[in-house]
Amino acid sequence: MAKPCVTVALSAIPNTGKTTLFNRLTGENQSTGNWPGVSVERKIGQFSLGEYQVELVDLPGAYALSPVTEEERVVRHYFLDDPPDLVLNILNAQNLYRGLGLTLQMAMSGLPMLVAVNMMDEAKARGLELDLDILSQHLGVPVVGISARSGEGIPELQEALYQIMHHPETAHFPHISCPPVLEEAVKDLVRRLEALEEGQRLRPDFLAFRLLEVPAEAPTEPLKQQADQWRLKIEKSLQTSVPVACASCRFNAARGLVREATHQHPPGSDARSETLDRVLLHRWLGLPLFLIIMALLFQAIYGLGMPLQELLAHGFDAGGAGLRSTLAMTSLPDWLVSLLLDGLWQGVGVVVSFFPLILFFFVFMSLIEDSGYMARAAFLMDRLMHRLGLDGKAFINLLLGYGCNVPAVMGTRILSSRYNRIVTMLLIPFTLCSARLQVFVFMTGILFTSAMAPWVLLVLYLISFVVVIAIGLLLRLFRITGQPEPFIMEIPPYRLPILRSVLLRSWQEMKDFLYRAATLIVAGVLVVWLLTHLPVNQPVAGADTWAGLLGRSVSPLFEPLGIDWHETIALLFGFIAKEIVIGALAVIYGGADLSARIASQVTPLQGLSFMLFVLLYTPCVATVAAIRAESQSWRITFLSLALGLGTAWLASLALYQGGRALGFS
Amino acid sequence: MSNRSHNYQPMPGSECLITDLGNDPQVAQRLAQMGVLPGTRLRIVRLAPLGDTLEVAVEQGELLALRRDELDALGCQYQVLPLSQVERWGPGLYRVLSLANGHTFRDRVDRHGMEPGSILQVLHPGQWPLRVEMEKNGESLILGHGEAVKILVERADG
Ligand SMILES: Nc1nc2c(ncn2[C@@H]2O[C@H](COP(=O)(O)OP(=O)(O)OP(=O)(O)O)[C@@H](O)[C@H]2O)c(=O)[nH]1
Ligand SMILES: [Mg+2]
Repeated sequence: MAKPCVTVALSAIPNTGKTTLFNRLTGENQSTGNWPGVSVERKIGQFSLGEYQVELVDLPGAYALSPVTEEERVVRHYFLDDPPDLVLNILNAQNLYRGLGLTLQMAMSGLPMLVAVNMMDEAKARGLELDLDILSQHLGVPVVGISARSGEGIPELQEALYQIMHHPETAHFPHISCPPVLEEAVKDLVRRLEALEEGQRLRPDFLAFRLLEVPAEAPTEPLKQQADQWRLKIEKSLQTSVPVACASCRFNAARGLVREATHQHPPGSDARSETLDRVLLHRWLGLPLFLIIMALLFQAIYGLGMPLQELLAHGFDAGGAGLRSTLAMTSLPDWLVSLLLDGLWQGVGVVVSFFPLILFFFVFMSLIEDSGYMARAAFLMDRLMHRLGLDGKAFINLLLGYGCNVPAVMGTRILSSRYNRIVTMLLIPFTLCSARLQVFVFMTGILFTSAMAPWVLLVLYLISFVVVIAIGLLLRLFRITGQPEPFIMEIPPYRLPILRSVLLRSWQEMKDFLYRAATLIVAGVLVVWLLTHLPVNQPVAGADTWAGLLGRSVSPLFEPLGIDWHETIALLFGFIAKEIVIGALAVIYGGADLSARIASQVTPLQGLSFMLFVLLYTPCVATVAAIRAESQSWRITFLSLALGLGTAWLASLALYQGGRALGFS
Repeated sequence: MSNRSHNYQPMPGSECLITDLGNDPQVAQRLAQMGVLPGTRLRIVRLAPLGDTLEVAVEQGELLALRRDELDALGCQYQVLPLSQVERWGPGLYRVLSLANGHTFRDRVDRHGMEPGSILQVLHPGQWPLRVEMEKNGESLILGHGEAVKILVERADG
């Protein structure tokens, strides 16, 4: 017999330990993704409790149901459109006041609810004494003290959850006194809502408040007008917007509640964090320390990840070669062998080779994030990034793009708003990743003297910085990706990261990459194979293959850049991965002594133009797949492709024609 | 009455009472939802090394980061300021709340008997060097801007 299924939603303000509790309750049985159509992280996990099968939903942190950010919009719509069977609200024991704003809002919804007061370990260590019974009486819902981190109180929490599932009748609701005009408005809207009721599970006065906050979402036109009128009336009489007025009443109630529930309040704030901040955020030391930490982070991710990536790639090559000589393969037609090995096998190889990078990326990023340093980094770098309409955290993602774009794009999910995520993932492809660096080292080595070559590389890095900034300003100017959100950010205390959480998350992200990006990557590699190998019986990537035809037909576009059709095909290969460009050139120019061939056929100026193009156009199919997976939007994916190709074309054109005008060849 | 503060660099240690949440509806709503409402006391903890971004402590010491524009847009009634900015309050009596560290500085103010709790009279705020008179012993003291920044004061004349 199937167990009855109960949906439980975790709701809380940011940084209260939702995800930690989620991991503790669900263990391995979770899946991540995005909310349908929106790039906001969505996590669902399962666990069983007595005779119930529980589906736990980890909602993004939201301060209230009147939305400011995209995350809050997601949370609001989740509760309004598809309310869960049960709400598990979490409060931070050390800051009940701030969390209670949302708790009071949720308690009025009429959904069965349980409040978990988390971080009891920290609170106790600091000498904070809370009376949870009083809290429970006033809120009208059960309250359990837990520590999601140490596991303390979790059995009691499960027991309480079970009891509510068993007897889901809801208790009394907290009453919050509001200014008369607000109460009047709510009363009126409740009457109207009740008139058109179809057995809602949410209480009508809860809905009336939601309606006042966003009248545009009213179910009927007359209701919308009515709500709008009330809103104007309230704003006029109270001189504030409805959400601010409502927040004032809630927090007045919260303040009283905290006073009653707190027996012993420790003096001052967290001394350890204060001491650390005095050094890490110091006026002179703060930035150098930040740079050192970033250098260590970069080294940890790429120093460990890249050798493994290469090892895996070599392993796949060797495996491919081994397979080619097996009996089964030799009995197949050549083109099929090539399709299987140069197409499919290579595609899978590309996917797998990213595993170590993604793993290390998320391990180290989660360490930085969970320790509390990420918020400090955002604070330190905010001014630079603010110019681009981003907040300081985006700096770290951009920086890590200089190692490899793929994990950096995936890592945008740690950023605090959708706006930040989208802009950052559009900028990351312009960072000079290490695969492109390989191409540049090879080409500059051939085309320039050994004294000149490093300078050329440096200039390429500088161009990359400048383009990131320019595109950032452009995106901000044209608001292509929506409105920035206010920056105001909580700075959490420093904490020791939980290894289990970090590993669980990294593992999850790797699985995610496999599910969501792998198909697109393999498909991309196959398309390039088809272009360069068809029609059959042509030399690979030769003039008469589809790629050759394509290269020649777009040559009027590339000639002004000093890039001939051979190189255009190499660029096409570069779509798979930039490392392949060199190999592709070797194939196209016919193998033997590639360096000499390039040196004799390509002038330094043409070479520069080619490198500039490689720097700016789409990094690789894996990055495109990651952007598609993270943004949940083909529009953003195509925008990224178009931005890359457009910028590359314009920059190379300017360089080549400018160079020629100055007399270089 | 809110006194907007466009021309003053916010200084660590300053404290203000929020009187209104300003005109940007998004910022006002965000602050309100975090429980930062008119009547809340803010203390500026530090400036980011690159400027423009501030760390502030609210109520029980929880920390928030916000930008200078956002702070400037709030209605703030300053309760504590460094002596270098008392021009905002005008001439009058001020009570010393704390003195920053610094060897020569502490030596110098010690010699004149200045300590937390001392009452100072400032006749011409905004004129540098700043002349203050110690109410206790009538001594007067000439302070440079760099020194005045290190002395946090509140109003002592109601
Ligand atoms: N001391 C202590 N720390 C905890 C506890 N639960 C969570 N934390 C820490 O609190 C921080 C935030 O936890 P998360 O689980 O990421 O919080 P969240 O609510 O999911 O945060 P957002 O998703 O950003 O809204 C992490 O550093 C955790 O290690 C606890 O019971 N005690
Ligand atoms: Mg979380």
